[in-house]
Amino acid sequence: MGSNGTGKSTLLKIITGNIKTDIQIENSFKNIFYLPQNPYYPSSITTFDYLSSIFFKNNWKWFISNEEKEKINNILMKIGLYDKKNISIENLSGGEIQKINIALGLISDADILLLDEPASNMDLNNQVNILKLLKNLTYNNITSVIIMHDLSLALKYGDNFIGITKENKIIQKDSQEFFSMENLKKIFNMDFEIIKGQNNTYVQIID
Amino acid sequence: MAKKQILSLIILVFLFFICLLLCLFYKLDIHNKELILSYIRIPSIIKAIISGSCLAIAGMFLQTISKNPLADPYLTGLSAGAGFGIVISILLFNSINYSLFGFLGAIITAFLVILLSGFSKFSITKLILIGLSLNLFTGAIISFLILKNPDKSYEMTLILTGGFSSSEIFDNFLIALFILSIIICSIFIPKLNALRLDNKLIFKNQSTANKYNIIFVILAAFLTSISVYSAGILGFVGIICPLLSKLIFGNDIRLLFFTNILLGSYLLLFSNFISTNIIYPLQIPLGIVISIVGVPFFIFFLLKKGGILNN
Amino acid sequence: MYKLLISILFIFFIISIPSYANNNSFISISPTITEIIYSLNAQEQLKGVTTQCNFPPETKQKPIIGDYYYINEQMLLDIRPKYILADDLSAFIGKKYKKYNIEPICLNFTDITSIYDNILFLGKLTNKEENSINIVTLLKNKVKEAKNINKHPNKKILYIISTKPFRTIGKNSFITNLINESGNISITSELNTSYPIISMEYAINKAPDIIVIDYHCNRDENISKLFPNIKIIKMTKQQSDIIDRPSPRFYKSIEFFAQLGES
Repeated sequence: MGSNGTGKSTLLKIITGNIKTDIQIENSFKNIFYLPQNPYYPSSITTFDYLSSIFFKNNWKWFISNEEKEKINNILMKIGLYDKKNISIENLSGGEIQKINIALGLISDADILLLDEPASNMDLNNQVNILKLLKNLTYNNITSVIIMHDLSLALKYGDNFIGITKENKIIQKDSQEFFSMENLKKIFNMDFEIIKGQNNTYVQIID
Repeated sequence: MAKKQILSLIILVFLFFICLLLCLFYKLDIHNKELILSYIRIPSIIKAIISGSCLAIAGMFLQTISKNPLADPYLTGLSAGAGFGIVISILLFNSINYSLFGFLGAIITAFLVILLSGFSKFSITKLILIGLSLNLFTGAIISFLILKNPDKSYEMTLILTGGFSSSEIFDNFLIALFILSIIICSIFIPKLNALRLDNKLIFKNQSTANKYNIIFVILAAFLTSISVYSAGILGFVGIICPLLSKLIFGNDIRLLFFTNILLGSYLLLFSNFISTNIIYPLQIPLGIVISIVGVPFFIFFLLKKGGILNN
Repeated sequence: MYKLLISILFIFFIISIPSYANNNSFISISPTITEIIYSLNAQEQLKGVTTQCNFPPETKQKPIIGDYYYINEQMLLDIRPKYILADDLSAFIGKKYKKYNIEPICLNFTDITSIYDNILFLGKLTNKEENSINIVTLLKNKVKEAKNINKHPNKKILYIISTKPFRTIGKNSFITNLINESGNISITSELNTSYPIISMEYAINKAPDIIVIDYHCNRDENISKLFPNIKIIKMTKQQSDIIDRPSPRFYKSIEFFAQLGES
């Protein structure tokens, strides 16, 4: 997390190789999935077809196998859009399209997902659902890197945090240490109050 | 596939065959049956099918990879390149084999444009702009050559508008090229299904996606050159057919591949039929008929289902 | 102030141009008309020709001022003729120079009578009326003679201008008139235009006896396949020049068509 213009998206682009630099990146992940902020989506394509596109990437076959169809159906169930399987994608809401894009990452066999503000246009319910889903993935050895601005949600579902300050310094800590008043002050240039409850920690802005 | 799609497909196949039969046997004179069939009607039907399907598929390729419904098969400077080849053959070689010259001109320009837009720093926008400027440049040379040779100018302008004159006897080389290109296309078609999404989602980085983009641009250029070889420069088919089949059949490229072949050849067969028969024995140039036949049809579908194109 | 001055100068310029016009001099932007002028022996008044004018050979000595589509305006103003003579094809160029007070004269050549009329008209214009009347009577006699040469009349002729697209001559064409005058029939004479693009099937079904192909025709290697067992004549450049132009030499083309029937 960090303020606008500190280079969060640029960092992701450097990792995917879209921006070429002299920095050597040591990559222990096999497949990277990157979701940009406003991805293009084609018109007159059903949700199911949209998701199936990814399976044509690495081979030359004309038809997708039954396993892959099953995979798509499963992921649609998980994100709760199974009943909209045959609906054209442009008829879905922005949040639903975003969920489908994340689902695309989930079925793409990637072991790291780089998500650029994935939850920005979803309602709270959906945000929580998606973050839960992503959190569950970590138990299957899939890492998610998420750019987020919602501190309380990030605190609840995140394990490791990277903050970029205005001076382009990086603060990398786990959730316990990251959410301290000094760190947040450095990153956002604002005062926060950290409330520690019994099980949870809360963040509050001080005017 | 939904029921509606299957129904539309059946109607399309039906229309295609009706048109094919009409083109073959409408008002066929009994005395000269063999002569007319083998030298006039069959060659022009084959040419209509080849050029129609090539243009439609090329248009589909370019519209999908550029994600722009306005992309046209002649985008890569092909029309002017082909025109230049044709004009050269008329002026220097007494118009022997000008379709072959058009083909070569188109291929050479296409490769020039792709080379200029650069393999490593390739982008579709750059390709379109370079194609556009090369089009203007060659177009100016063509206009100059036409003005400088007034005795052949009428012939040149007529040939440049395109159309398959029945005087051409049919050409095995053309058919071989067409079959070859269809085979190559059918290998690459499923890949296009992945390319229809945002490239950033599918590919790790832009340069991997560009490899596929370049393959499809080259394929499209090849297909368009084949269509130039068989029918000269025909506008409009390459934009209208991919859009129309997308409106009717959705966005599955595997299905669209076949519907584009059908729709493209249907449009050209029908236009050919109209152009030779509506004010028989006079002929209307094919390019004019295509626009007159195609535009109302296209606008009708656009008004009915055009909401899909809003993006 | 400057603008006003410049515009006054400009207007003065425009007004001053016409006063220079030469008396009764003209340029021809049509090879046909050039030929007629030479046959009238009025070439002294002819001040300029186009690149297409090649008959009689003396036309080479005249200054070339342009072609079908383009006239060098500077040369035109240097010569400053009174008239521009044009035919149907080049009429649109002539009209552009009215602003220099150069009068365009457009002559239409649709059939043989119109050739006679045009010759008489040009005779009046160049003050060579006697010559023009003589030429017309001579031509009328020649046409009558030419008709009598035809030993095998009523042959069906297909005249091809180009094969791609397939263009022939229609009813309003001057060549159709020539063929009729020679005692033969043009199979495309019912088509109600001058130079129609037609479907090849029509020509095949009409079963012509003789096919005449224009010199400028682009490709003709397929004609013999499409019309087996039919006599095909490919014209030379000189023959084509005579037939394409409704000039005083047109009687030669009637003779040409009249002799086609002979094997």
